[in-house]
Order: sequence, then C-alpha cells, then structure tokens
Amino acid sequence: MANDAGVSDGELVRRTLDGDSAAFGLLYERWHEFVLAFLLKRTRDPEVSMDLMAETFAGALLSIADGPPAIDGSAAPWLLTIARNAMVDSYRRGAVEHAARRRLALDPVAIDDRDIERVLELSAETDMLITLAAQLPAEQFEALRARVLDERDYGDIARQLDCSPAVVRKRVSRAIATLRRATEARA
Amino acid sequence: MSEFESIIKAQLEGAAETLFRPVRAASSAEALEATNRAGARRRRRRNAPLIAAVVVLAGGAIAAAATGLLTGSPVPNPAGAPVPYAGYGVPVAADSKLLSLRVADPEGGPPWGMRIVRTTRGLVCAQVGRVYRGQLGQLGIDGVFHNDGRFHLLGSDVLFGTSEAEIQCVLPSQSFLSQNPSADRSGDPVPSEGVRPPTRELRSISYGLLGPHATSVTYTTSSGLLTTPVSPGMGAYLIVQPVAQAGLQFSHGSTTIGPPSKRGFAPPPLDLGLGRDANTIAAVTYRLGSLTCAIGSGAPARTPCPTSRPPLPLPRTGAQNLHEPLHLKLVKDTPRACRAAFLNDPCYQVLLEFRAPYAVTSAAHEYSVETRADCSNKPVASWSLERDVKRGETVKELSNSSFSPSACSATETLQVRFQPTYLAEARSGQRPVIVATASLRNASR
Repeated sequence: MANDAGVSDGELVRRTLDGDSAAFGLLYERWHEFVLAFLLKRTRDPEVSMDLMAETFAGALLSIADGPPAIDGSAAPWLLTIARNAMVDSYRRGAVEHAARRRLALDPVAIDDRDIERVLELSAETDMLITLAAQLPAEQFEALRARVLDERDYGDIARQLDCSPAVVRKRVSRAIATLRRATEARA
Repeated sequence: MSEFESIIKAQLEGAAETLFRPVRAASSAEALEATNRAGARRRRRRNAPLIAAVVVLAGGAIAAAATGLLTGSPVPNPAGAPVPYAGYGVPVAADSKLLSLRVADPEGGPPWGMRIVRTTRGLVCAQVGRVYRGQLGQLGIDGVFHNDGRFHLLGSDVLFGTSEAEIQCVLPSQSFLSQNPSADRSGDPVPSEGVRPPTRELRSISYGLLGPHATSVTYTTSSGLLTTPVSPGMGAYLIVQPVAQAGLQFSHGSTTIGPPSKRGFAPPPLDLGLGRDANTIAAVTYRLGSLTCAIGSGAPARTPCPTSRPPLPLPRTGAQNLHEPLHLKLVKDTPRACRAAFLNDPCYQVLLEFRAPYAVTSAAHEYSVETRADCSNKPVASWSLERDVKRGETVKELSNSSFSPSACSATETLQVRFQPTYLAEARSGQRPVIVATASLRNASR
C-alpha cells in the first residue's frame, strides 16, 4: 500500500474487504490505542482492556465479513460500539468475551508487565483522546496527536504518515480550527 | 507499540488474509474453491491443524466412501458427563430409538436420520445426524474432527449444552418445529459470521415433532411447495435440502415450541421469522377425529384447524410470596474472578441457603434466583438451579456471579422463586411463587 496515511477509514475497510489485509493492519494502527484507552477508562484494568481491545478488532473484522459497515469519516463510533458490546457481553459472562477471536481461530496472547505499563501510560490521555477523536477526521486526529500529545516534530510525523511536513502542518492546523469551532459552538 | 499489540496486529492481518482472499482470487474458480476449503478448516470447531497430512474429503469422496467408512472417536459431550438429576438428565435407554425416517443427502453418502431420546428429567429430545450402519453420527468433513473422513457416533446422551448439532428437547406434551437454513454436512450450524463456506457444502435442515395428530408437512422448495408425510405417532419430520441461494449462507436458525397440552393438539407457531425461503414449513396437516385440517397455507387440506386462544403472558407481579427464611453468606472470590467481572478486589460470591417448599422432579420446574439492586430497582442477574430438589430439602447454592460490597450491589436483594422452566411457562395457571427474599446487607461472612 502506497501513501496510506491519507486514506480514509472507510477506504481501509473497503480495501480489507477486497483482500488487502495490510489495510486492516493500518486501521488497527490508527485506532487500537484509542479503543484501548476507551476500554481502560471503563474497566480500569489493563489486562482486561487489552483482551477486550483484541476482541474488538477481531469483532470488527468479522463485522466487515458479514457486510461492510457504512463509515462516513471516522471509524471510531463503529469500533466503540463493538468495544462496548464486547465489554457488556464480558460482564454478563463474568469473563472476558473471546467469541470473535475463537471464530477467527486466533490464539490467546500472553500479556506481560511491559504491556501493562504501556497501557497505563495511555490512561492519562484517555479523556482527551476520546474527545479529540470523536470530533476530528482520522487523519487530522492522527496528526494532532502526534504533534501535540506525543510532541514529535513535523518531519518525523511526515515520515510516519508518508506525506510532506507541509501536509502535516495543514492537518494539525485544520484540527485545531475544527476544535475551536466546536468549542465556540458549545459556548 | 508493545509486543502484545504487535502480535495482535499480525494475527488480525493473518485472519483478514484468510477471510478475504477469496474475493481477490474470484477470477479463478479453482483458487476460490481451494481458499474456501482452507478457510473452512480454519474457521470450524475442533480446528484442524493446517498440515499436509490432513485429508479433506470432498463431497464426492464421502459419497464414494459411504459403503466403507472408518469409524472415529464419538462426538464429545460438550456438557461433560450428564447426571440423571440435573440439566436435561440422562437418556432412558429403553425409550430411545433411531426412527426409520431416512432422508438422502443432496450429494449422496450416508442418509440423514433422527433419534428420539427420552430422559430421566422427563424430556423428549430429537437428535439429527447422518446414519451409517444403523447408527446416528457425524462425518469428519467441513473442518470437523480434523477432516478425518471418518464416521463419528453421536451418543444419545449428547443433549445439553451443545449448539453445534441439530438437537432439540421439549416436554412430552409439547410439539416443535425447527429450521436451520445454513448447516454443514453433519448438521452443525455454520456461524453467521466468518469465512464464507461454499454454498454447495451447506444444507438447509428442517425437522420437528408435531404430535400424534399431524399427518404431513408442506414446505417450500426452489420449485414450489411440496408435501411429505410425517412419521406416525410422534409426527416426526426431517427435510434436508441444498442451500440454493448464496444469500442464505448466514441466515440464523429458529425453533418454535408449542405449549404443553394434555389434549394432544397444541401446534407450534409456524412463523419461524425466517421468511419464505427454501425449506420453510408453510403448512402442517392434522387429523382431529374425523376432521382433516391444516394450519398455514398451501396444504392439500383446505379446512383450517380450530385454534385455541394463545395463553396470556404471566404477570410478574402479584405472585404468591411464602416469606421463607433465606440465609446469605459471602464467600470471597478470587482476584482474577473479580477482575473478569469488572469489580474491585475483594469481591464475593454468595452462598444461599433455604428450605425447598416444593419438589422438583423434572425439567418442567425449577428454583431460580434473581438479584435486584435497590439503587436501580432493576433485575441485575438471575440463574436457575436446573436440578431435582426434594420437598423440604435444605438447598445450598453458590451464586454464579460476583458482588462488590462497595458498589451498588451492596444493596442488592436476592429472591428465590419456584417457577415453570422456559419450556413449561406457557402452561396456564402456573405462576411463579416467591419462596424467599433477603438483602446482601444481612449476609454473614
């Protein structure tokens, strides 16, 4: 996949359905931290959150197979719905749901202390990430998070997102403008 | 990205590759077929390891081998070893029999058949599978039993806790009809999500027990309505058709159960909510004394059968309350169980103790426990004992969910009820009885 960074979430879902498995990998890269943060906020348990995050994306894959979702803009609402359902199902069962992974024949993955530390690092950003992601297109959210939250320079972000630094600047600028408009509207 | 996150990503990409590769290779029918087979192996239960030694028997091979199949290990009981006094009970050997009903499979091989099993807890169960040398079983194809191509006996005790075979249990005075529009070639339902198996490997299976008054069923096919007689006595029928439409591959199955009736005529509702796709039961013909009549449309008999008024749903309020004593004791749960229930450690299970005012001698009745939180006044959870109980017996039962003393559940109330099971709840005049109620606040430790 060339120049993937500018591809919309909906396009990644379509490419996945067309047999491009790397497209789903990119969708995972884009959103798994966000889903993890969402789950951690609610479960307050890193291990449970990680397990449910894996279940969420396995469920998303099966959801695409069953009939691709209509994604207009960000995939976040779709993924959060799946995550919430996995969480509720797990609560009812009294154990972390793993039906989707079982259907896909995915082996359980052990979670070690370093994994847990990394998830806990995410917890501080949880509220901000969720707020931002709900309001911004995926590419703007990605650029803004890399620049503002991760404090990376434009050149570094551009290399990761496979675009020019000027494009990154423009996305960050648009993201800030979008958030400002949203804030003014609420006021 | 941590190692865990990286491994999950790699797993998901691998699964996506398996799931959607057929679409990419659609220009080559051969590639599509090969991929579908591989996907099916990966998808199905008791997944076969993807090794070269695996023998995948295509339909023709099974048909050819039908006269000399090897026998493999029996179908395991997913519920573990059954006991006579709990769950569905165990088969009463003298009352279990393989019906003479045989239905050819669309691609040949062992025919389909049905066994009727009566259990120690008063149930009548129908099992559907393939019949080979007079025995009911499943075939080692479609990813099942490592695709070993052998015949695997389906024991008469494989009844409870399985959703992987065509098995339905009802009370003796009940009738039912069941349909699964997308089962595999052993009768196991194909998951509604996941890899798309080739349509030709799927079967649409319809079966049921319609009672002694039923004489025939009329069902839809791709070429119109057909009518076939049912087995005399129990009114058993079994229809197996190929799945003609690709869109039906992921249709869910459905079962309707008639109300218990001492009169012997209590037909199940015909509407399975599956639409009028192939293999749907459109009508059932009955003989009631000198009257030949039908329920549904399209049957040879034009006279509609008399129908009784459907029972009203039982009210949940106004139930008789016995106010028996109920003792609760908190039993500390493991930290792992607390985490799994999203509760802080420590959390607790509850040991309930009460005297049973009524006996439970069959699967028609049960004691159930319902928990209700004062802060929301909504039922939170419920579970059933699902076992026989002697009248006057002191019942000790550990809750199957956990509670936190610091959360809303600290105010939770547990209520023990004696009630008909879901099978018998439509029986008129049978209301739940509240046996005992107690609050977690008063639980001992």
